[in-house]
Amino acid sequence: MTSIRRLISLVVLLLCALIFWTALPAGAQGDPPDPATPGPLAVTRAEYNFGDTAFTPPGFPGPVEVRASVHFPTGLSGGPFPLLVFLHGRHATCFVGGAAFLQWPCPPPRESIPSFQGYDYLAEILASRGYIVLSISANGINARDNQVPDLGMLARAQLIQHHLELWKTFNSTGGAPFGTQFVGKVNLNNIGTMGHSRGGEGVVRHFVFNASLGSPFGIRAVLPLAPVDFSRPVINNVPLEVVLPYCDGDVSNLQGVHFFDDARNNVASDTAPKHTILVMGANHNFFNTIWTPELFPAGTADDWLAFVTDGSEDQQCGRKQQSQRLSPEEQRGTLLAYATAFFRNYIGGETQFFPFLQGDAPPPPSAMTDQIHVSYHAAAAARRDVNRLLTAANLTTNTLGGAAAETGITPYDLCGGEVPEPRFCLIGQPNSRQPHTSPSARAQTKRGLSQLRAGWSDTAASYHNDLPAGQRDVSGFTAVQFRASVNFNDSRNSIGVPQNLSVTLTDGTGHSSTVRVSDFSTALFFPPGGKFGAAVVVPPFPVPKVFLNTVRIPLTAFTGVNLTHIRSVEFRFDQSAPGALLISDLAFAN
Amino acid sequence: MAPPTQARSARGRVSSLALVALACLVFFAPATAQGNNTIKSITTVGQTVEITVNSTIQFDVRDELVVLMIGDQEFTTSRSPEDGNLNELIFVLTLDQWNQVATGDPVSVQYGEDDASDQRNFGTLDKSLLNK
Repeated sequence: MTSIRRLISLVVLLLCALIFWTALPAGAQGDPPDPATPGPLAVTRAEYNFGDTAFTPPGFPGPVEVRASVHFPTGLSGGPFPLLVFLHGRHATCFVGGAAFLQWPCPPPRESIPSFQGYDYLAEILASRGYIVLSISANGINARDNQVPDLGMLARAQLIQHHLELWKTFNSTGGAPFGTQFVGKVNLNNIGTMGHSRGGEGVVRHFVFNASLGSPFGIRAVLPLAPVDFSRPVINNVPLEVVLPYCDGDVSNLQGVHFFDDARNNVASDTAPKHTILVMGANHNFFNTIWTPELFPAGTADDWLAFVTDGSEDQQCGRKQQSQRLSPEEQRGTLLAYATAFFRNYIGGETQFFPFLQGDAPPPPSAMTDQIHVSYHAAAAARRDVNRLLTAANLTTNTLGGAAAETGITPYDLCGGEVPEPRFCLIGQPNSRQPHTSPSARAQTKRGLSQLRAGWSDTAASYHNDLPAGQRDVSGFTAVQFRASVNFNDSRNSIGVPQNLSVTLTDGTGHSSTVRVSDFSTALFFPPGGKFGAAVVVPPFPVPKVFLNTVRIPLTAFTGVNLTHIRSVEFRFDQSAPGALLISDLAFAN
Repeated sequence: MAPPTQARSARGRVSSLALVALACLVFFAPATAQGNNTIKSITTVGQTVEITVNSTIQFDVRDELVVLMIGDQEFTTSRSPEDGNLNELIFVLTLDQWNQVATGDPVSVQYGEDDASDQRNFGTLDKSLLNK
């Protein structure tokens, strides 16, 4: 009897637990922990400053400061600790009262604008998790970078390298101002870099520069934040996360997406995953507190409102009641979430955060918004490209050598990639509304992302890719994925209405399994933006934008098919007709 | 007493209308930062020509590239004056570039090359002002 009671109690307990579990929000049922939760370590903040003219990058037309902030675990017990290096972007350099200036050095009573301090909120969290976080001042470069052809990118790389050389000394023999405090405490073979705006291309250029010197420092992760990409440097075999604010009023064409697009197929055996994080409602400046109005006395701006004509009127990015702009605090939250996830995953080896970077987990609470979309390109060994959609041949024969075909798709062509593809995918739309093909200032002839331009008028339409023999066992992968954007310029899409389609896997015995994209992804949202009361496609706003985000569907969702013998992948446009999408990168991936 | 009152009322109506008209002009005018824009100087410096432009509205220090357009030609090498004044920008042209522009070409400054934003007009180029 006692045993029966115990059994009943156990069953009741399990039922209660089950009810409680199912009552939890979806995100609480096994999503990874929030990566931006402050860690257990106390943090010390310090600065070093070797003077405003302490270093002249070779070939650069003026001296620059050697100054930085450092956040590190107080006491430095244990270690060596990985090193993160931040580099701010282009901004006014000097101020007095509320007035800002662009010159270097700053003549008294003018003082230096401490742009490098603008990421302290992020550095503090990462240091509490066991990182030494360096944020470099680069005002001397900003004051003169428009005088050199590469707009100061090599100088930025040289400045980062100069600081790393200093840290090599701090770590080996020690030196002023830290004495021997950091001797043996810094892992210079496990470094992550983050650069904002021109600093974004700067950290990419630094990766190339460091490699050209034989990689004296181990750069293991690179994060360009709202970056420019003037010269289109491409980096491979290093994890890359490009964070792009949808309401960027400065670098409004989101040209930094090229870092991701250009790197994807550049190296056949690329060992590194790549990510883009599209933050809806975010502008350019609010990631840096020193550039944010009311947080610093001079040189601040809400770039969307300041630089975009009539920007306040925009329904996504403006200041109307209906707009979707993030507050400065919310915007910093998005960087906290996705920078900590990125560095803790790739530098710290905390792989539980990887689902955030794949888009498999919703944004953590620290992001303070769920309006974030992810693109994910797996490392070569973790991916089987079904159709890269790079050339016209891929319209009939996919990357694996299988047949590709359409039914009822018009147009069915490629755009944005190499000649003879048309350079732009959206006819009559400005470049800021099609970032993947936006020309770069110092690489004008370089083309952008090759995309399948596809539209359909009825629900019988489909797009089909065969997997040839020898490529049909996909059981070693976890998902089928592709990148897509609703083409707002095609009137077959209803303004403001998301698109949807089905994906069908068919195995060698003819069994099929079909899932709806909307059950797993929000990537097919209608790109928001435009003036209230006006047709959404009317210029001048830089939004709406087409931006290809990853649709990722777990293979476990395809029940009843033999994943060791998948014969085809088919898109069935049976959920919503008519419609039009831009598509790239159909693959199986982990 | 009445006429003066009527006169004041008429003037008041005119003033009100003028204010409304002005408000409408301000409200509906494009928010492009035009200000008062002038070409301050054109000077030969070694093997280059420096064109200094001045605007009553500051040139924001942005990450996007600032571009001088003369006719259909773009020039992107620039700097601020030594005093850091954000109301001025100095564009540097090679002599070859200078030879390719002509008197009468429209002059403007903008951010970005293709989707220009914050475009400001500086009238037309007068090459006879070189070194004057």
